[in-house]
Amino acid sequence: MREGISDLVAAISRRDIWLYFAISDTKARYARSTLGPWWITLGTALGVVGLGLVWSAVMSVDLHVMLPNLAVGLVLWFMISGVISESSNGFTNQAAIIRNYPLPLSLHTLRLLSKHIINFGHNISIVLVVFCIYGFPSLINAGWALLGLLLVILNLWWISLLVSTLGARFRDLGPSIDALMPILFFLTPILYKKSDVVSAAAWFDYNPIATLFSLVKNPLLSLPVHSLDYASMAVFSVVGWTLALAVFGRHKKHIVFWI
Amino acid sequence: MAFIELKDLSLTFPVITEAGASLRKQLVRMSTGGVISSDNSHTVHIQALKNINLTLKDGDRVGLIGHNGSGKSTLLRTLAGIYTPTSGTRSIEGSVRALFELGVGTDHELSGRANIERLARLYGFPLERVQSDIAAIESFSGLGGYLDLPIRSYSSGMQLRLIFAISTLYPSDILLIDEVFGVGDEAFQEKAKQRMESMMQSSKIVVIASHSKELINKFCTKTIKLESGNIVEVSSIGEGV
Repeated sequence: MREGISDLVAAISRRDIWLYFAISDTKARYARSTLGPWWITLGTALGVVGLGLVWSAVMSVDLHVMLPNLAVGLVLWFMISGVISESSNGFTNQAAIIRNYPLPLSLHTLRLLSKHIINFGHNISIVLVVFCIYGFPSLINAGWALLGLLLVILNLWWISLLVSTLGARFRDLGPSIDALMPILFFLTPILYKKSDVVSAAAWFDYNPIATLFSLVKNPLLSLPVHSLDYASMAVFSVVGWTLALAVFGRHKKHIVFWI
Repeated sequence: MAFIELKDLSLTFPVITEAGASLRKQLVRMSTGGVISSDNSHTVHIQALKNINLTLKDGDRVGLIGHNGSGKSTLLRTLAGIYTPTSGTRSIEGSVRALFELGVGTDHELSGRANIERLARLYGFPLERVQSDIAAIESFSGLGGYLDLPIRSYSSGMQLRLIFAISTLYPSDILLIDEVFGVGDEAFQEKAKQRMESMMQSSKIVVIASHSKELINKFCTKTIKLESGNIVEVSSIGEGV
């Protein structure tokens, strides 16, 4: 545990590496393309519009309800699912760097996380455009959403650290996460509202990803905001961090041999 | 002052074979338990270093020799702080530069300049200093105008020259080298050799793993012979050989 914490602290202080590499990787990936990282935004925007048109017809929901719902939902989902599924290879993808430079290991988690936050930052423009058309949420609700986003990132961070550590040891973890992601997509209120199904499916309350989701989504879409959910997700992150740091701290010295 | 001290240092590392890395096998093992599980874990442990005792001080130039798999690279990676010893202690004073596989962390899509910055950050060089020394990198690698092109357009020799120029830009207290010689064409090899020599001279402690007797005789003051993870022989090389 203590080793995990000291590695984490050392990693955070090396912003000169993780932040720079996250930006540099994004630049490298889109080298010579005119739109660059905005391609992700364009793809997400097409998804929002396309799914919005189809689902508003299928579920007979008005477009002005469906589009903000989808814009917020998909943009968040891409960040959450992106971080979780890439994390299973979080250390293995950086094997060469780990074997050649004495750097704190959890730095690679931060690099991965900040890369996805950069993409998320681009995607926020979609949400802003949709809000421009259909109206902005109130300032208080925006504040709640920001607090929710902080909790989402805080939780994603430990999940990423834990999944990276376990993924380095167990090579089946990556494929199993990839297999679970589509189900998780439907179990999370992205295409619909929690209130649409909650009476039929009580187990909804036990999906932490769905609750995390609602922390950002509900205030932005003027759905009921439960302050208890914020508290419970804060507790969830404390428990998660303890678990992640215990596992990571214990196996930190083995990771270089696993990858 | 630079200083390295290893006391009774041993390193065992786990090698997980195909079956051992599988989650299903682990779960089956947990549920079946008992006799089969204990000899079916598929984790092989290799003892790479055994009870190493070593003290190095300023001025030491050590050549590590030994067969493939004798523990040279493992010892270097342990000195660099990349591997954590299983038992024993390791105390190191002074800045450490590890030259193992060169060029790790570059991206082929990015320009030479961007890659200089990536490597400089990984090595922990002060960035302002690197910026002001970029002309030195340019002239040493002989790349000139190529620095603004993506390095995938370089020939492999040019890439090596750039990477070598960055990696050996600044000296450090302790220099650890794992067989990184023979870079580029003949003219560059001469330059590279000179650079290496001056870098070794300005480092306080140098540890080189190499199979080349000539190289070790030229640069080192003593040799340490490793055999299956043990130090079997320490001998000093006379000055001026």
